[in-house]
Amino acid sequence: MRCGQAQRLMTSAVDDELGPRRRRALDHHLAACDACRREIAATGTVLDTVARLPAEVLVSARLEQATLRRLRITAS
Amino acid sequence: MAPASVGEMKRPGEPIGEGEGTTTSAATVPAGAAADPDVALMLRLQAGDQAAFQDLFQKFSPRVLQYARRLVGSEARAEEVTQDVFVQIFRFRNRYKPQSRLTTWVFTIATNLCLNELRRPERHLRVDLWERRDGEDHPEGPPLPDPAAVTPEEGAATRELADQLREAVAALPPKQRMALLLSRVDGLAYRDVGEAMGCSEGAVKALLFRATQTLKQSLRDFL
Repeated sequence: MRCGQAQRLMTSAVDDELGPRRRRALDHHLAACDACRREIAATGTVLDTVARLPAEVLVSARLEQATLRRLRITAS
Repeated sequence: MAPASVGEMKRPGEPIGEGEGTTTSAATVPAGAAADPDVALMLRLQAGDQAAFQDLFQKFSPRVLQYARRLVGSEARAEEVTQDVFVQIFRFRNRYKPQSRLTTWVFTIATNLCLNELRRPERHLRVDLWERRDGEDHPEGPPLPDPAAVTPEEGAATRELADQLREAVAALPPKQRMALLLSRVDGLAYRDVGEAMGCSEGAVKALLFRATQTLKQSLRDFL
């Protein structure tokens, strides 16, 4: 496996979405390539930081009431 | 004005309307899905339980609104999209099949409506994707805590990284942003991201690869 191929698999590898055959091939490449080990570590850092963005935001009572008003119109 | 509620639409105990599509009966629910509280919630809604919609709104609207804010740009537009999402959930409640995760179904609707919103010609102006809400110092909530940061300098670096990340995510093309948010923030598996976005798992992987490459370039100084 070349570095370019390895890099295309890194996001899936960090997300644990790589099939076993490709995972083994990537691991084999990483064992021998310092640059790709640094690259997958950077990929992990970026994706972990994205995952820490808040998934939720406060919803106002005004929005809930407006939605329920629209629902009444839809249902009638 | 009295708070609007689904319960006001019909008398207590009366079904809340037929909706569009075919109702899923309890007999057609797969064994594994029957224990899923989300499936139970949708079955209640399909059966006409008036409180189920409010339960569903309270459970999913904080995530849908946050997702829409990050995609369509402004608070007002995100709120419009969120309303549309829940009206569609109600209208098409009978089309939901318990074989799909409810989260995936909800985000499929949200993704389609966000894409429609982004395609509207009058919406092509550059907008601040991280518009602040009234009275809010941090549009994305408080700065991300870094349990490993032990000095003020490290804390500042973490905040700087978080700010840079928000800008970089906001600058991604919409489909890359959607794939990234659905997989990393909302925790959907690639298969479910593909279902929500109407594309293959391979396409999801390609979107995420490009998004990650761009983010690594933008955050190079922090890595």
